[in-house]
Amino acid sequence: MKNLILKIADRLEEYVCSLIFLVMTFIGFANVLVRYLSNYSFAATQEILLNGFLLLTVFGAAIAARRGQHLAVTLFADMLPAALQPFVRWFSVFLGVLLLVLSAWYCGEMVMNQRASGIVSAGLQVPSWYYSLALPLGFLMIAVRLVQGAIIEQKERAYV
Amino acid sequence: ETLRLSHNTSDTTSWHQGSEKFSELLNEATGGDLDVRIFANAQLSGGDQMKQAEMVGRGALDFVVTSAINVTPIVPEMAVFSLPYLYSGYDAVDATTSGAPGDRMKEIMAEHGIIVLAWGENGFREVTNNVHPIKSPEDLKGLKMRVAGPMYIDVMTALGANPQQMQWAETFSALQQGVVDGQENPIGAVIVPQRVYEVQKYITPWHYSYDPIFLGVSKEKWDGWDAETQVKVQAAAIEAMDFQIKVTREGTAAGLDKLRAEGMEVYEPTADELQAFRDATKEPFDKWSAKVGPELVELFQTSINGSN
Amino acid sequence: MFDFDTGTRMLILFGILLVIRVPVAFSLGLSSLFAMWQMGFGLDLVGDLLASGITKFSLLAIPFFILAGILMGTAGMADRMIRFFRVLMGSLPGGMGLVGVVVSLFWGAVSGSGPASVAAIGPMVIRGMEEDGYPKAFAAAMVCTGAALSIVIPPSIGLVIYGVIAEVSIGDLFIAAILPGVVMGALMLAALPFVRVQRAANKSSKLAELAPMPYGEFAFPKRVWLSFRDAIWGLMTPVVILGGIYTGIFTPTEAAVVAVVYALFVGFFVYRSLTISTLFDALTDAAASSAVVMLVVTFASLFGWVVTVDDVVGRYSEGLLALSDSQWTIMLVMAVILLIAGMFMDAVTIMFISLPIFLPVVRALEWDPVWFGVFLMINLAIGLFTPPVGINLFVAANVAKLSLEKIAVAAVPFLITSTLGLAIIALWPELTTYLLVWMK
Ligand code: NA
Ligand code: NA
Repeated sequence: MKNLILKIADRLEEYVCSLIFLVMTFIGFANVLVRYLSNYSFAATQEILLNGFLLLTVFGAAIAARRGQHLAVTLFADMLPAALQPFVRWFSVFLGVLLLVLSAWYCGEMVMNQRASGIVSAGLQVPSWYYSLALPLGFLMIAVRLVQGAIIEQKERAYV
Repeated sequence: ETLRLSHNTSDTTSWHQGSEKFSELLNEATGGDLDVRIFANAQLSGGDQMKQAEMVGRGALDFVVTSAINVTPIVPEMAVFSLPYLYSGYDAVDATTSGAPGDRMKEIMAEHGIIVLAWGENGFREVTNNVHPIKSPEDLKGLKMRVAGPMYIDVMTALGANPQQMQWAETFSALQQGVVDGQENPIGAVIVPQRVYEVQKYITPWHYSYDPIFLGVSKEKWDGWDAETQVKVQAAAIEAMDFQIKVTREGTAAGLDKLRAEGMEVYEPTADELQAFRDATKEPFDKWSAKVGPELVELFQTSINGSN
Repeated sequence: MFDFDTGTRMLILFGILLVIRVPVAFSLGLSSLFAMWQMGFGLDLVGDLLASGITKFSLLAIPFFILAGILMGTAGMADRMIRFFRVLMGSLPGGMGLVGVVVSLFWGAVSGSGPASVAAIGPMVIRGMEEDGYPKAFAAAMVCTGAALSIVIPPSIGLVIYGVIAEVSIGDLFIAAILPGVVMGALMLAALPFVRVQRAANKSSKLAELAPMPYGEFAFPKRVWLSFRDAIWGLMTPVVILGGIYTGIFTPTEAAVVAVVYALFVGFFVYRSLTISTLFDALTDAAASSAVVMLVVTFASLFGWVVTVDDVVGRYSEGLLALSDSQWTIMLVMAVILLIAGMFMDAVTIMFISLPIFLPVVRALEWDPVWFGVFLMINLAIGLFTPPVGINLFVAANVAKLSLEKIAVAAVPFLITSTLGLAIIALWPELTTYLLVWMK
């Protein structure tokens, strides 16, 4: 049981992203069909697609952080002496985490502002902060996976 | 001191001209002490037109020029202006913005941290399409119409059309390819400057919904000024927005001729035909009146009836 | 001595962060936050700017086209299409390269977004060219360049925005951009021979090993027919997408969703090659790949904000434009400014901040604004595949699983042909008016 929870926690964003992606595809396609075949329409398609896109971006970025996929220029760093490389590598991870934590902080402030002002979404008229809460959580998740990815990479290098 | 003013549209619109006028007048009045820098296209909020007002509300931006429709997500009462067929013409509009309804709206906006200095104009929203001239609600049956927000969805549904929400960026080619048949927007503010006439054949100036703009300042900033400065800012704002309204109304009048010259077919509905549209949109009118508050709607209607 | 303005300091910090291997997205974010802190203004807007930076509607097609591309690969549609093109054109010199250029131009006429085009055609074209013996990085660079022409060849979101800002007929712009777009595409062919030398040696063995030529026992027409029949579902994709857009059934963004549904349909019900497990992998891979691109776009929006508010482009442009009153020098200066801006920002932001400065100059020099729109769009298209910030490069690096630098270096020949194309449009402005005159 505990293992199962750990396993799910370990791949949480992969499940989240898959689900969001399928839902977005379904709603986007249904909107085309319904518009073409009938006189009805889904008023909230835009809103759901755009906010699904937001979730997909932050949680997808967490998947990519863990897999070490975020694009960087490695040309110059690779030219450094071997002894310096781990230092530069971890310094870069530190800067990434710093930015992500700051981003999470500022997005958290935005969520509080949105709660205070009571702003609602244009289509479904639900409080906007329901959607934007994904931002601070997502940025923290990316930071966690960035560190996890760097540790995995470090271990793999140790075997080489 | 340099202050920042943010607005939604490009630098070729009457919104921008009004903003520039304000900057000019204020600079003059304060002998250069207050300098207003204008940012078009909602650049300061990263292109998000809805966010500017909220940013002004919490003092992150100084001034904003935005339309009522764009602030309804924060201030739902602002939707009162655009209720279908609330207004019959410019006289009715001016009676409300210069009277008790305008003052009431200023109070409501102040509760959200925005001091409304003066009202300007985006204009009456008119309907265009590619299928046939729209003369009665029956002509809208089954047409796929691109609309701007939830209230317009209800209005178009009541008229028998098939409303679609779509980002403006995609609307131009969607109209061209026929993904949607038509759209609704003000002539002077959108249909002419955004070149909608290139992809639309018919227009009916049916005046079904009005959208005002306003020049607002953050309450935080406003309270920090002495009385003398407040008077100067207020005066500059009123003169600038009066100028903006004048430019917009001239542009709208010239706009219809321009649309004709560009090959659009203009159908100007009769009073009876307008009444038919008004009757057909009664249900969404009542639904959205209940949402913005019946007393507020009554305040507007009293003022409008007094202007006739 | 270090009396740089905030914008310049931001650019320097950005460069340093890139060099020490901080990912592009984070380098953009950190240098922008630094600049905002220095300006003493804007940090309280960061949350809002990040949120609106992510929810850019014009980019919504990217994740769907990436997903469709992965699904078409997993389902076996891409394999069958590559085989068909190999049977058809494999005997021509540079066969798949030619196919790649044609497909890129063809797709440009469907999509208005460069990165969405890379996502849509990249996986297939890159694999096809690779199996034909082209170096993978070269194939990826070619796709980046060809897909960049999506914003030149109509429909183009960029031209619509230019038309509105410059008050020029969007219909005229669309027609004017056709010939220059085709010329740019044709010039890409000139880059093909330069790479063939490297691949001549191992071509035949590699080809046979990677993708055995099907139906070898039949005569050519029969082989073409059989492989065509195999590939029909894949080949129908552009027909479905193009047909749907041109008959007004869906918008270009919705087309990306339709492409996903189509690939799912073929994969599950026609070829029966997709499973729940491969679908899950495709979904997570596509989510990660599009997020990598979108995270750069998100933090680049902070960067663009600082550049706008600090008026970096304005200050640099005014200084440079004041250098000379020769119209050729001014044109060159504009091109250089746009190319440099294109290294860091997206096309729409660049237009908003540079056009208020450029358009008065265009009017003063009495240049044709339609021609200038096309000239501008080609500049911006080049910016899509120049490092460090080139969205096309990012998508290509992702779908091809190659490093940014490799593709950027391989793109040099295409950068040369594109610059040549830009020069042709500059020296021969009639290229943009022939079709307009002919149609009127
Ligand atoms: Na295109
Ligand atoms: Na670039």
